[in-house]
Amino acid sequence: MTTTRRATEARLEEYGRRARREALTYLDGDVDAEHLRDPAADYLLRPGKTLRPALCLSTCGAFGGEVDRALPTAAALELFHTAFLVHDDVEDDSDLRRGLPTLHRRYGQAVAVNTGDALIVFGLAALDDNRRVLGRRLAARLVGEFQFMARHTVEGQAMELGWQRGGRLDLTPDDYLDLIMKKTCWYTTVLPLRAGALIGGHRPDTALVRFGFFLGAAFQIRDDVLNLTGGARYGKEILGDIREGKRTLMLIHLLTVARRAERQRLERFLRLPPGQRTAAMVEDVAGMMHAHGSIGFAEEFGRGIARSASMAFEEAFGHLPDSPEKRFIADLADYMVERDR
Amino acid sequence: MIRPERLAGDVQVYGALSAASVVARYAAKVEEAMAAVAEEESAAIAAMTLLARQALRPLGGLRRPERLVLPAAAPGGIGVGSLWLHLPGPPAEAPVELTGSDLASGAGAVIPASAVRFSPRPVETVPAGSRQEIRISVEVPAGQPAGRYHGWVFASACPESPLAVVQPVAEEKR
Repeated sequence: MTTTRRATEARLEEYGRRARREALTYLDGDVDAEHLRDPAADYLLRPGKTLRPALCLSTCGAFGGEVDRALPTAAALELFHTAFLVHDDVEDDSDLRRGLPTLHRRYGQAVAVNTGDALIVFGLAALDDNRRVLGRRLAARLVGEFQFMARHTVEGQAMELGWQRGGRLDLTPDDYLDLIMKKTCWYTTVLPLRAGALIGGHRPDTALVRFGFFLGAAFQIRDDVLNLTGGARYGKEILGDIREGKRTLMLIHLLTVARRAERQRLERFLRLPPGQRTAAMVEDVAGMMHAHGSIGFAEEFGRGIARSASMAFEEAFGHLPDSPEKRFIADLADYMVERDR
Repeated sequence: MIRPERLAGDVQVYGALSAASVVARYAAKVEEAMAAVAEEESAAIAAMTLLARQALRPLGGLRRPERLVLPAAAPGGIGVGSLWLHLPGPPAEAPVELTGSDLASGAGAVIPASAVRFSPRPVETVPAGSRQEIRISVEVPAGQPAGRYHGWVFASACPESPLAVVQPVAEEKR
């Protein structure tokens, strides 16, 4: 592991610790520990990347803002993200999250769904605290930013479910990028950057959207690749995306290049309900992806976007004075593509 | 035969160009959404209310005019905000027409009334018990001196109760 990468991970952890500590304060109060507080704290206490609060806090600092003033927003980002993870795991019926059983495996589906709802409520409380910390105007603007994010995130999730249920096989890389802009990138990178800039006193511009999307897309493509190739540090089920029939770049590429007999096999596989897809079938699809260079295609596609992210960083942050926060954000683009968890 | 490194480079360019087109679409969407948020903020902060004639009757008279401060605009730019037409009583008998006056600064400079626009115009129907958002825009002429420009908005339904409007004009960028 390089020094830069170690430093990036250390700084991510530091930002993450602060944001999670803040997020956990919104779980306090007169709540049922067994059925609400404990499950709500469960994912927050597992080691994750905490990319979203880190981006928000560091962007605020890079623009010359007081980082502590961004803490409620960073906590809200982490609480919303955690809520999405809980619900996503139920929707996908996943077994593992950050190397441990998913919330619905541990507490049952009813508690998990309610916990996801509760995490959104706690996130709203964190956003409401911005009125006290940032004033009414900026707090209202941030609520607007979160609303925009939440709407696109649920639309993206619906789009993906529709693709899987509708058996869509005619998708292109452009469709995939549109999906991940909605489903992942806005809440993972674009919103944290915009919110951090606003709290730092800067009106967010297109350069931040560009940098955020390139960074988020590189992150998501890496995540998809790790689902096929991930090692011991990868905390989710290997090949889980294939089993669920997710329309990743690799699957879209494979559908284009597979030979006729392979394509027929692939189509039969995708028509099956996820529960009827056997391990051997999943391995077969993964083997086709390796054989046809689908993974290499996705890696290079993502690498091109990550390189663009480095250029977009200059556009969005190049005019700012040097600072540890600015250097951290710059290093993230490389980290996103090379990370192994 | 295509060399693998050339192919990899082409895929990278494909990724970068595809991603750039997505950004262009969504950057426009968020700007539009956040402009609406800013206008609502401005409307809430100004706490302005225009009452149509039917709204005034049950209250028994005039209300003290309130003030709408539009966001600052540079010369050549546009100040945009919202005001609300409240109609708690039965519907207005005729469409409500809004009119803006000249806006004058303390130094005597004037933005002509023709620069003040409303949308929708006229307000054809406002269902009883509801409210209608009216967008107001002030086109600041190029070369307009900086300052705070004061004027009035009149509603045909209640001309005796105008709304004070302020359009701050910023220094021209050099």
